[in-house]
Amino acid sequence: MSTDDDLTALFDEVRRTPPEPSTDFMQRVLNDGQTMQPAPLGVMRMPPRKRGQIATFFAGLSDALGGWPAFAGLATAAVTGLWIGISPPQTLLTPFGMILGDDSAALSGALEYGDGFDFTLFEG
Amino acid sequence: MPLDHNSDISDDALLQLYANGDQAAAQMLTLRLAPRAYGQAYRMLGIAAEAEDVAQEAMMRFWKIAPEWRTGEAKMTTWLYRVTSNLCTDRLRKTCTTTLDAIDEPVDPSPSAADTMQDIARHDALQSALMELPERQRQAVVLRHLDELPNPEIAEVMEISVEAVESLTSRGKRALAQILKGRKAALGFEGNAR
Repeated sequence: MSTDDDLTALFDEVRRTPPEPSTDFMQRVLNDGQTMQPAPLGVMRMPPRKRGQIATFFAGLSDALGGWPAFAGLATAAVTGLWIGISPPQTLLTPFGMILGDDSAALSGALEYGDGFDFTLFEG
Repeated sequence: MPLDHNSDISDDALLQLYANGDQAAAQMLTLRLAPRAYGQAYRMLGIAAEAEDVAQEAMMRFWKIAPEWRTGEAKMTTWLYRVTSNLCTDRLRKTCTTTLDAIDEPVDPSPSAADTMQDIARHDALQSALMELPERQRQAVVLRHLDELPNPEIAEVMEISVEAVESLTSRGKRALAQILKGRKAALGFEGNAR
């Protein structure tokens, strides 16, 4: 090695065969790059939620009725009806009292079957 | 991993694609840049495992800034060479006790080179000689003669003047010739008497 030419020839030779990184290294670098890469613009993918049979049934029912607002109305009506049954307000009882009077028999009569069906009771 | 067949795509365009979430861009950037960072680190450190650590760290820093890269402001490869170079310097300062025995045998899987022990011996001799150079000279010689960077770019990488680069490469080359003088047998230049 006494001349520049020899050294230049050596550089040329070594340059033609650069040190090769391992496949593992390249894969690690790629993994880093993909991990740190920003998400694609304008596309948001949500994974589909898994539902059981019962959840699917209620989801179908909810859709058929019109979603959660319909369920809210239904629940309110049910609770109101239950409350009126347990503890009816005075304003509701008074009109019935005026119509039927104090006679409990009148109430029974109002709740009896119609006259047209009486004959069936006497038939053998 | 397939080779980078999209060499016609500019670095700036690739960076834009990467920032937009194009997964192929990540792969192309890896194929284009990682071997360069590794090659430079290997020439500077002489140990494959350390070179991989340094190159991976340099690439990690690159991925961090890639989405905010301002097109046309700096050359991507120059930036990567500078980061790799600084990381190598840090590593060398921490492990200044590294002996030549610790230096790996150069690994070259290409059949033409692997077929001849002489080629391996030459690469080994050059790598050993490079490791004997002062760090800055080695860096300049590697960037100039093995990575083939122009002097102004080397000046940018090493953050010195072009004149300083010329001086370092010139002294480095002379020192290399001197070191390799006694290893003609290993280099196979004995028959080339002038």
